[in-house]
Amino acid sequence: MSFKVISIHKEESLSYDKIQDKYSISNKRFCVSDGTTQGYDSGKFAELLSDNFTNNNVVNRDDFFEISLKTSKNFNNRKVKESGNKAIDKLREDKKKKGGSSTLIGCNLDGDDLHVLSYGDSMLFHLRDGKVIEKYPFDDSKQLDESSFFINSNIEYDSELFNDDALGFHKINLKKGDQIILSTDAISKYFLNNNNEINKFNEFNSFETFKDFILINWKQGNIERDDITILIYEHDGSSSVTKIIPPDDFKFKEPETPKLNATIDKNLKSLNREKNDDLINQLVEKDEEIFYLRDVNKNLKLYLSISLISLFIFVAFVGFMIFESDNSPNISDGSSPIKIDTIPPVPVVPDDTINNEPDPNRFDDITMNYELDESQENPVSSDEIMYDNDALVLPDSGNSTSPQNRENDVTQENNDVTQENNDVTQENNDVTQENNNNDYSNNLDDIISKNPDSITKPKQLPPIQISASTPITFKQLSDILTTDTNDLKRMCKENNIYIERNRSELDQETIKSIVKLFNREVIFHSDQTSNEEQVIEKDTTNIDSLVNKN
Amino acid sequence: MNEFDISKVQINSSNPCLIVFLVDQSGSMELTYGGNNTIKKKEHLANSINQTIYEIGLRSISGGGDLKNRFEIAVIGYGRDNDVYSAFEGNLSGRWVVSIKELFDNPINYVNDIPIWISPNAYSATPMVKAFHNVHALTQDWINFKNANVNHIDCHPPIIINVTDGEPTDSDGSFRDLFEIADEIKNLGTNFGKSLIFNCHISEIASDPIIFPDNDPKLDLYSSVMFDLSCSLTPKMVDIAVARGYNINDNSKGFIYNAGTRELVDFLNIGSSPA
Repeated sequence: MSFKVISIHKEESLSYDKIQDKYSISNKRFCVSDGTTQGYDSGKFAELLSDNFTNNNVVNRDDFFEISLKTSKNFNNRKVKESGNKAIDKLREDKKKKGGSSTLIGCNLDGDDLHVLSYGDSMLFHLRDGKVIEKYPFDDSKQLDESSFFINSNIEYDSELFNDDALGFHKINLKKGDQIILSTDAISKYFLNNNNEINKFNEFNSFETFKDFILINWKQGNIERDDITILIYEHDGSSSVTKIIPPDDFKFKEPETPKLNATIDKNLKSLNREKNDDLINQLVEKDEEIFYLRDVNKNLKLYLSISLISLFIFVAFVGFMIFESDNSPNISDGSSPIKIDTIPPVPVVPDDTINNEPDPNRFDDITMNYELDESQENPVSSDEIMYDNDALVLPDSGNSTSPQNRENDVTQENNDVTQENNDVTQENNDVTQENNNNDYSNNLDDIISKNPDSITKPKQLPPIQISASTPITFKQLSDILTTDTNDLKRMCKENNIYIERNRSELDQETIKSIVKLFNREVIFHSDQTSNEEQVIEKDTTNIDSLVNKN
Repeated sequence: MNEFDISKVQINSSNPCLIVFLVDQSGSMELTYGGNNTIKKKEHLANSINQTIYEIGLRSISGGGDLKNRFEIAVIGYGRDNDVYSAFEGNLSGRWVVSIKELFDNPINYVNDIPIWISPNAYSATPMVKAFHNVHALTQDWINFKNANVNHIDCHPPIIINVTDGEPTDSDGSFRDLFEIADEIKNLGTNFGKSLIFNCHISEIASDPIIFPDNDPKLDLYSSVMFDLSCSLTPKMVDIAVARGYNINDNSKGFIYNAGTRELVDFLNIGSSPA
């Protein structure tokens, strides 16, 4: 009996002692068994089963069941190897409950007759003259794949696990020089798919060449990455066993477990950083939008404020105009505006800021609606004729030489005087007419020319001369003092000077007290005036005339 | 058959599979679950995740009894401080992806001798969109990893399992941003296919769940969103679901709405069984 054993363990097993394919040759019997990965310590179960097969004469189903049961009992009596790792030992215990399992393909040689027993997916190939003439138990790889039968060590507890359908017997008549190849499933499948390749295994004379062949085909996927065992029997009457198996020092390198943590951590951080960057970019964009909206909001507020102020001014102006229209019969009723010559205002006390240049902008806001009186040198706008509590307000002449800075005040004061004296003005039209020729500017020029000191020394004004025989009212006194009645009333109140009404006639003491508030003196005279006092007298005459008219 | 047909993919320590559990830890997870007055949603979710990780460990024990790195696990929480974070605790705190072997070396505690890795937590908001963004970064890095022995481009495509009890708080009403990032994740893939997103909606009320539908249930906008976000189950998953008694087909999506306690456990086990 001439045998050649070719075998290699799968990479995952690392060393040959972990291979789960087993073979046995003894007593003209030989077999191959394949311990399954699914079972527990299946390599050991396969080894025990193979040995029991070659050491016993198995010719029928009962014989095989008997040796299977015997093998199972031997196997199950073994204790689980402790690993020192509680978790792994627990795994082994649970795995053992699933039992060890194995296939078997065995031959019993009787002269030229070969009695074959098969259980599972290991195979036999019968070669004659280098060609496969018989395959057993499968004809193709598909049949092999569909086989899922194993002898399981748990048949000791459950005989139903022994499947008679998976058990096969076969007889082969050998001729001299025939070859019988027993092989486990991975390489059997390769043989089934590559019939012409089977002779190549007769040529392997070293483990190295065999290993290289297997490694290439493992890598190329032509052969499954599983234990590989081939037992070749040559029916030539010789007696030898050749083993092409890994040397003791041969080991596959244990696959490296990838150290992905650092890489994945880095990538995840990068991922989070990218997401953070996205968020930051979004925030920046939102910030820019917010700034833009703030600017828009600010401008809108400004525009709104301007609009509101403009609207308020417009409404006030319109309201004022409506009010004016309601109180101006000559205007509101469409009649011609009153044409009144300007009257010289009460002489203005000039100050040191006097400016003789006319203000070209003085009445800009009311020069639009002039209704020219051809007979007048200076046009008077209807807007300039304003009534307040029946007081006629006359605008100042555009030729006024009043100091620019005080011009409006003076004009206002004059207007106030004129307003307060509305009745007087109306009723004493003749008086006004008489004074038409008394140009205010001329009067002021006269004052300035005759009394230049009065310009720079207002406190040195001459005393006010009032006729002692003619009673004077508070209103008239305020006119003489060229001050507003309300202001004067307030000043009187602050100085404990009691005034009953504007038209109350004032006694001389009260007049003195009031005039004193203006740092001036008063002289109550009869009819004589000095030359120096004639200017004042002129005005006073006017007042007196007005008073007399009243 | 395509060389990289998903049915041919092998999962082993040289070709591991990434499974990402997205765990809703919003404030509403404090409520009781599925009409049960004693167990809170956060507790059942944490128990189910721990149990599923243990089941993945069982699938990673070799025939020789050794634990193999066939799976790499991420448990990502969202809700604390309106943020996204690794839900691992203890020695694994802050780790995004941990091999199954390292997980069994570092449990935080044992319950009935079973190791656990996360504890029940409920915080505030539901930043699901942000969580999906983190999953995208994580998945991309994982797929791009390779060295002399490992190239993740040749592995089973990553599986993302999202378990939530409500709508995201960081998305608008149209959920467009959620769709966009989910689509980006689904466009990441290996030679064996695109990444898979499964969604499980759990409810505090006991109601009829919608289980692995193959058509939009159209219960409301959010159920339609969850359905559209979810990918179809792989053939292997369909087989497992059928074996567990679910009447589904090849077009069924990895989506459950109003899941009860049993449905959640089954969902996690089926969704985390790529091969």
